[in-house]
Amino acid sequence: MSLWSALQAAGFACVTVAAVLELIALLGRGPAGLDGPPLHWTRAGFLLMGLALVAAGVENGRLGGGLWPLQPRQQWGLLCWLAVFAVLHVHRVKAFKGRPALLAGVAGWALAAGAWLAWR
Amino acid sequence: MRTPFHEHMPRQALALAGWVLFWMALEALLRGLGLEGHRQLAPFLAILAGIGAAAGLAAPRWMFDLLTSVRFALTQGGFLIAAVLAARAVEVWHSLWFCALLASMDASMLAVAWKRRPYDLARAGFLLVHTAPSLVLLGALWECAFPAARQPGLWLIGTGCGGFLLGCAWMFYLKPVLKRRGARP
Repeated sequence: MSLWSALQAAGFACVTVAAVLELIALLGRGPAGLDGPPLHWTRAGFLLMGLALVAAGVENGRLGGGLWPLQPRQQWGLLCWLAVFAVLHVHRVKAFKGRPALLAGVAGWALAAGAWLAWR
Repeated sequence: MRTPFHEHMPRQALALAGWVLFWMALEALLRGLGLEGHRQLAPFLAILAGIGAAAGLAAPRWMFDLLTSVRFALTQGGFLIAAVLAARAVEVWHSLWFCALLASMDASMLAVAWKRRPYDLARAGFLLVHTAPSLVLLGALWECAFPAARQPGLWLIGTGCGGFLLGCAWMFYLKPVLKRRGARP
């Protein structure tokens, strides 16, 4: 397993934990917003997936290609990272705090998971 | 009361679609004219557009409000997600419109960094996160312009990526500690 894959898997695992916590919160059995554990897991996932993208660029560079993640799996990593980027910014909009932010978190994870199923 | 432009995401999406379509049309025009190597021009033009937008910040207030709006960041993020999805079917990464989208995002990040003055230790992470991507884009521009001498471009990209990740870690984990200790009143 390459460094890129390991970091991406760890990042996606963090985002998955966050999505589960958000789903529990949406069902009314947790905090009413993204603040707290879901946000911590989302942030950890964002950081790990960012590291994964850098590792992907280094890997591509070593293989003699460009730094941009052009392989399909790496594009999926970029999509996950962008989805988490969106969730973190949704959380910053006052009007979207609470349930909309939780829904965005779950939707972001669903988009990433769906893309993985479609692209693998 | 009418929602201002910087808070109206559907109108922002329309404006951004217009921006993207303009660059698509320009690319088609360049291709139609048979200009060889126009793809090499893409980063130049996109960065120039970004600089132009940044320079225009001082004049129109609405543009500064738009570029510094979180909702606009979300709109741009949505377009980038669409671009990644579209990349499965069409050429995206070297297109003029994608570079223009990145340039608009870069102008937004620089404007947001400017808006958050004065800077203190607790805001250093925020500043890093919003300025480091410019280094990455500059590095990419260098790589396109001087493929034979890649080293400075690689250094810029590496520094930008490192700065961004350090900024994220700072913002997520160090800032709360600094705030608790009273680094920022």
